[in-house]
Amino acid sequence: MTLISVHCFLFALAVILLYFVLPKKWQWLVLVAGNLYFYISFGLQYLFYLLFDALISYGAALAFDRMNQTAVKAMEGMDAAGKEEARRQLLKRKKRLSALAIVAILFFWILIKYGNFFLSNLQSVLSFFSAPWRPGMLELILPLGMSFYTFHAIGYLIDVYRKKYPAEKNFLKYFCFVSFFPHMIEGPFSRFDDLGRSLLQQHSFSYERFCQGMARILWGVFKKVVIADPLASTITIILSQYQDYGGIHIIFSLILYSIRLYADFSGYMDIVCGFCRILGISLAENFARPYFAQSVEEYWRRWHITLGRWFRDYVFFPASMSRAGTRLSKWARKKWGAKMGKLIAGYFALIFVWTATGLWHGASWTYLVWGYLNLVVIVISMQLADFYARCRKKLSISDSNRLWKGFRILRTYFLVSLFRFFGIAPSLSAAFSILKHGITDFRLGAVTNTSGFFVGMFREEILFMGIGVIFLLVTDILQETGKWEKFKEKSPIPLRALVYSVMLLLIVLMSKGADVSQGFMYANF
Amino acid sequence: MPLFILVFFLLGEYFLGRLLTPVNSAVYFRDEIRKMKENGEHADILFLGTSRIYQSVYPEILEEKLGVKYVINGGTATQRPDSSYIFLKDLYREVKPGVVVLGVQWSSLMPEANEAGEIESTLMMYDRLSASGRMECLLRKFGSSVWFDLFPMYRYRKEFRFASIRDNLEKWENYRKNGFIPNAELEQYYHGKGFVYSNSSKASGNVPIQDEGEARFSVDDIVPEKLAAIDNIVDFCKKKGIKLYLISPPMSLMNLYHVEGYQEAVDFYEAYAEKNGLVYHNMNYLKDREDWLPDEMMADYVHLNGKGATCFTERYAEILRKDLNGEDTGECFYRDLEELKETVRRVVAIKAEFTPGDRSVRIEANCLCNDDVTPLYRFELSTDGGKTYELLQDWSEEAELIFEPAEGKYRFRILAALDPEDPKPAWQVYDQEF
Repeated sequence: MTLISVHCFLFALAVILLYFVLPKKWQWLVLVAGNLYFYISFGLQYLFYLLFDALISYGAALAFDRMNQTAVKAMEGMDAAGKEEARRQLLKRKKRLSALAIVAILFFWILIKYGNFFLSNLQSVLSFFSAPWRPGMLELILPLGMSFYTFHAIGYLIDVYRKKYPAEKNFLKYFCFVSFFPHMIEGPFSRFDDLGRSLLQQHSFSYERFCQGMARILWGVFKKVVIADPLASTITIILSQYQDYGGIHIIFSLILYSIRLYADFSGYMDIVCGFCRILGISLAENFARPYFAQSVEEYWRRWHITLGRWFRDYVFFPASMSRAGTRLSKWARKKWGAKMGKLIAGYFALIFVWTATGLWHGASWTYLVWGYLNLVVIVISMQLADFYARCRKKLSISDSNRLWKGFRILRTYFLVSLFRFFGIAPSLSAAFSILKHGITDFRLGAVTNTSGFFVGMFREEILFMGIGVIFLLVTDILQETGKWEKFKEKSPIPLRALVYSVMLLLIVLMSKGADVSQGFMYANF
Repeated sequence: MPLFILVFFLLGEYFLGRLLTPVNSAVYFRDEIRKMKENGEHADILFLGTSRIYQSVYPEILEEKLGVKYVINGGTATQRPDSSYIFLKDLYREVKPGVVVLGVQWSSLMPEANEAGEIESTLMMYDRLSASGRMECLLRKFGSSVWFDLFPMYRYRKEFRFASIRDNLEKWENYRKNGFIPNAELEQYYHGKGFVYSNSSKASGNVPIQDEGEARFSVDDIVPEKLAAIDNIVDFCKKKGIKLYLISPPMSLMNLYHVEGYQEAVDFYEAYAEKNGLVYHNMNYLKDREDWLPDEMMADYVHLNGKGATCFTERYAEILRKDLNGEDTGECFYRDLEELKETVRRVVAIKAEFTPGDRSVRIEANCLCNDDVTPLYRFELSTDGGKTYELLQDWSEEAELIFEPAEGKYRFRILAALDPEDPKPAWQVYDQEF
């Protein structure tokens, strides 16, 4: 079942109907049934991994709670030293259990997602040393949403470990959260104290919410079908047959790729957020107009927000506050002063964050390079922040200067688009070949032949896609400047209805078949 | 707001749908039926069946030969029996035919090799239905996955090009002025009353041996739902007092040799017709077939071209006239396939397969002919795209040839005949690149 298909539409309709028709106390059970149906529609065998992760995280979280309660009882009547020792023992046991549980949860995910990456590298090493034996490759398929539910389970486990909230006693209620189908394919990364509670609350039907949800779903489908899908062929053709094109075409295809990825990913988010809005469930937002970011660091605070937060809470903070992180910080403070001492622990933690971010997106060296490019630019801009500030002061450029802002937005857009090149290249060697070709055969003269940039697309598709991009840009500008709500309120109803109708008509015209769209890009990560 | 959206969307769908819907034979057909209804006329004879019907039955010839006013050819591409049933009921409501001729062939009751094609073929029939017929089709035939296709804008969305819209508008204009639009690409044009006239033609001996799918009839493989649909047609005709005939329109001689169990299919339809008090004619067995239906009458291995259709319809008119008058037509037909084969004194068709080796290619020819004759083969090669041929192997019983090609493009012509002097041998050409 693909998200934009008749099957999925009927499924979503059935969930909405049952959710509001059945007694409210059963609403979360409707969601559990929906989650199971959705997941099983992709293959019953994959349910094993989901249940395994859910059971391990559920059981470990309950054990943490029990350990805490037992320790509190045991500590009653103890002196301060005894309490301290009991606390130390409790922490030790919890750490041991959490490590075990996290390893168990990560085991299958790492095996399936990274097994072949590890084996192919091992093969290369063994072949370099002319070893007589080479390992074979694994034939495993990454189950749908595994990267997401694995992280949901770990996040929940760590939160309960940190006593952020108590463990959920009812397994089905916890399962409702961890397997919630709208966030299963591409996220967002949700927290149990946020989404989990919202899922378990009772909701009444609201016509206003229904209209808002439907409008958002329509907008999401529009972005996916009218903007993202038509661009796929152009990007694929230029990057796969790069010898036939110049550097300017390659750069242009990367710019288009950024548009496509944004339309595709944010389109998906609009669809699932719209669906949740109809049900009254609040789902975390994943985008805040990322292409208006003025630096790479800001971009990552606006793009895939929930992933960034997940890494911040569960990788960055633990790494920066780890023993190694604090030692490094102390050493740097002694050597280069207080400021550097503060920054160096962050840099240390960022290495883990960007290694994890790169590998999370794909098990290949290209994604690692992509992650490290982001890391390098972020570290350089943090390191040179004072220098840049002095330069701006000397040149009398204020931060509110529109031209300066525009320049920074464009610069960030180009940088993140170029970095993505490493993410989409099939291999590092291919990436360098394309780069070399792009530099040595730039073909600046081709800029006059615009049709050469949209290879594989019909004139009509370019036109509609262009209309879509303008729609997207205008709404993003209005939202960024805080004028969106006012603009919507001021527009007369017939005009708004006309816009929605045109969007619907364009979706129909640009759709590919009964299952109207290609799969979502981020579902592969 | 939702009402506004619905109204705007439906308006947009209607206008875009009109712009995108191609002017095709369904448009002409509906117009003809509408005119008949407006004039209060009814159809004398209605033909139903697949493309073999719509490319074989020439209504105007039948009208002239039988002295009737209206013959309608209701054949549509790969029309299944259940579609024929829906179409019959719908056309009965509109034009009340007195005689119905249902086209059946060896494959009509066999499982479909290509289930996906069913929707497309049903849509072609759907386009010819009245509003009530469409509703019935929608409820009985189409699953939810096809509902979108019933909206013209969705169905023809892939044709959305400014050039194709302009072209379509010109076609509508032309249709309004001239009555029909030729389909130059397929060398076919709509000739009126459901008949499609084809200008393409096979050269003698050049009918290709069908490659796709398994060509086999077996009573054991009959799909019960398809047979039930024919039963429904029989019951409907009985109930409405319509005289029903079964007919197998002619196909190439190659097919008669190629299809396994062909005679079993004929026997089945004869038994079925007898059981239900119907008349069944297999027009493939009409006597002197080799004289009146040479390969040049075929548009491809299964359809007649315009000349073939003319020739066939003239002969069928005679058979139908005799039937309607209660005369015996048994003498006009061969008894069975064996009797027909006895009249064939040639190689019917040839096919070659190329198996590349290390430095050579093995060419293996096989042909369709009677079991009691030995075919001779001849292999020729052209390096100039078929302008001139050099001899690789002269007429012999050897059906295999090993050829060692240098790099390049070649055209092979493989011939088969019973006699080297045969002026019309079976032949095929194959372009190969090494």
